[in-house]
Amino acid sequence: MSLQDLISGLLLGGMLGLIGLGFSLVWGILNIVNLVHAPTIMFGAYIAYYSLEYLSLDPFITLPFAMLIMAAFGVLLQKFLINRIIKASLLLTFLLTFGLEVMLINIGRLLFTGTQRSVKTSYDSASFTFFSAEVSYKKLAGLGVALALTYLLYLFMSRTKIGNAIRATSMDLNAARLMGINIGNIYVLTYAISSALAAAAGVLLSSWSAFTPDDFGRYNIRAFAVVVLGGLGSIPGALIGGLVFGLISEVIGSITIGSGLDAFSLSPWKEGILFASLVLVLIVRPQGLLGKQGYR
Amino acid sequence: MFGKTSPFSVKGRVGPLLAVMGLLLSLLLAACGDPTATTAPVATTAAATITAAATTTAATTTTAAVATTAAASGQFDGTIKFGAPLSLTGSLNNESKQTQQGYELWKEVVNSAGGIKVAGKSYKVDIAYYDDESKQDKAAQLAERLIKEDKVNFLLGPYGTNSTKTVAAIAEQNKIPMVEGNGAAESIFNQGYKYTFGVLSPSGNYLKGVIEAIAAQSPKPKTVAILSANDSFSVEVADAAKKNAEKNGFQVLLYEKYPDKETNLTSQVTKAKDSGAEVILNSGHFAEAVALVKAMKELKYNPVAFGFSVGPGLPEFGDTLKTDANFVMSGAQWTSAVTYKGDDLFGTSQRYNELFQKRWGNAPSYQAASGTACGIAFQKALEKAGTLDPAKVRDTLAGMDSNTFYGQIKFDERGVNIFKPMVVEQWQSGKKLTVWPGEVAETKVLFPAPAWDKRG
Repeated sequence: MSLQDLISGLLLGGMLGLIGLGFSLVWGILNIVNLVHAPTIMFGAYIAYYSLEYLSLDPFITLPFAMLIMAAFGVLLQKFLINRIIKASLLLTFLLTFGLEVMLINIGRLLFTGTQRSVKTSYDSASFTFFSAEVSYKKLAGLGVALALTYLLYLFMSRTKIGNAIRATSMDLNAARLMGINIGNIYVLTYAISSALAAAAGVLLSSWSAFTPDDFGRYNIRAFAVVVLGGLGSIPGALIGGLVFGLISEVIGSITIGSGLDAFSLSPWKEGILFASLVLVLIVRPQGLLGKQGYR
Repeated sequence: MFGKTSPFSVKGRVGPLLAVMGLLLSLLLAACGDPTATTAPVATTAAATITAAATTTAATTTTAAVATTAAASGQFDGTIKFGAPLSLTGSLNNESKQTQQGYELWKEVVNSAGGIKVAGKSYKVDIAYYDDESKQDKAAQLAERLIKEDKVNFLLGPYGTNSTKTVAAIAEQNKIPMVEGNGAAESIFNQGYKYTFGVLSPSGNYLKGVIEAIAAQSPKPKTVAILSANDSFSVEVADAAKKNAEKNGFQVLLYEKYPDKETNLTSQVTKAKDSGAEVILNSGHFAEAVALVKAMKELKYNPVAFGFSVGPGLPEFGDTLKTDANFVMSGAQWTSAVTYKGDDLFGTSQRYNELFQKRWGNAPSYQAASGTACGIAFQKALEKAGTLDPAKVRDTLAGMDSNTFYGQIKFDERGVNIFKPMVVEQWQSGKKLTVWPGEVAETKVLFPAPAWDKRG
């Protein structure tokens, strides 16, 4: 393990935190395990790709537009589809979002084809040296965006009237309704915020590697893991969960037992170890690292 | 009335109904996603699909060997039916479609040249396809159906190692010969099967050419780091690469595996950089290849040579990495630039390229050429065997040794073509050029690769 691994872990963790944030929000407030999260990330990534390719727009300029577009998409999806079965049990809403995920990924295949894409800017792999480590400008800026969005969401939830209404809704639905909160609108808004956050993650991740529509399903599992790790219903929890997940992932990847060619490297076992530790967290601390009841 | 788990009162059964409807809708859409996503055979009738251009060129350019027994007028004495499960939808559909283009081109050119001559009779070629949706189990089922219900005489390979493996088992059970060109894992051929033949170079050769090309440079680098995805094909390639590197006098400093489909390779590249290896070899897939180049540049790791198994062979490698793709080398089964001289229908890569472009409007990939080569192997074996009897055709295939536009086709006792070398391509100034082996290459290897910050 070196400084490089720690830095790589933090940079990766920021992205994972951002992915977990929106997922956690919908789960905590709408009580839906939203598998549409992954296709939303996919759309974000393709918006970034096409904006750069056809409009020569830098991904960081595309970012707010992609967030707006996907928020609008989220509003429509929630209002006209998800909201209609929101009263059903968790399993049924899960089934619906699963169906939607399959459908949207297939629409992605139709619209974007299976051709490998990647966003490549002039500064794509540029980095600066920080002590003994190399830090990518792009990834550092991505981490900055992730932190800023998390903080903004935190402020919104704790300082604004609407934010308070959202939290109230997750704390006690009936009381919130009796206070005159329009639950339907709260749900739509929450879902839109979550979609915007997913789109932001998609835009930022679009330059990390090459992708096809089939490569996004994994982010649902990542989001799930981050939320479990950080604790459902906590904004800082999602961020911390992401950072911890990223750090563990990079550190495990760097561990080699023994030396030379016969050394045993943990790198191919990364996924297994990660999810085993997740199970451990669930056993020892089921509420997650920072988990609390509801969004507070 | 208001339960804790379902905070609203549940009104009727709207919820479940909608959920089921949503699921159905999505399935419907998934199915409609591709017009070929039906289970019905998507065979096209041979003669009808030939474009005028392809027909005339084919007729005028066929080599003497085929043109002797004329009958190009379309008079056939019978039909030989081939069948292939292909991944026309799903994750492998791009590569599969190229394979299909290769099969179809062979069929059309053979038929326009008078078909396959077996014991004095000329047979028309017909190929039936089914869509295996990129699923190996489905491929096996469909192969069974092709044999039992469609009564195909012979099988052409599906796309990819996994499907080829399951279909090979079906071919063996039914004693129907299969020639395949898109499953390179040696594990397919290590099962003791007698009826499966692969025209392509096996996985063990994927990085062999690259390593030899690097070993021939001066000053010769001494140390190598090998990274590999941990799926079975990539590991086969990497294990063989390690042996080859050592055989060519390199010291392997790092042999590191990473999870299949991993797209964040910073910790692995950090290790390679710390090892100080001068050459980096990677055995993985497209996305990993791109992630690896990005990580190397980001972490300022500057090897003098880059050799990847799969990835740089696709044009998208240059599209996604732009100038950062330069200097990367990779093994390829075939390129349109190689200068083999064959005695088959096509003869040279150049002619193949020409006919292919005319027919399909795109350049042939090696997947397509491998597909065509499967057909050529069958054609040669059938003409030599003088019978359609599967067992006799199998024996003729086992003993064949033929030069084609695709390279030498000859099988070892396992049925794998270890005799055809892999060619090496290198990205140079945004173009993918064939650089090795020297006698069929179009240009020289660019070496050494400059450091990332010294590139123009």
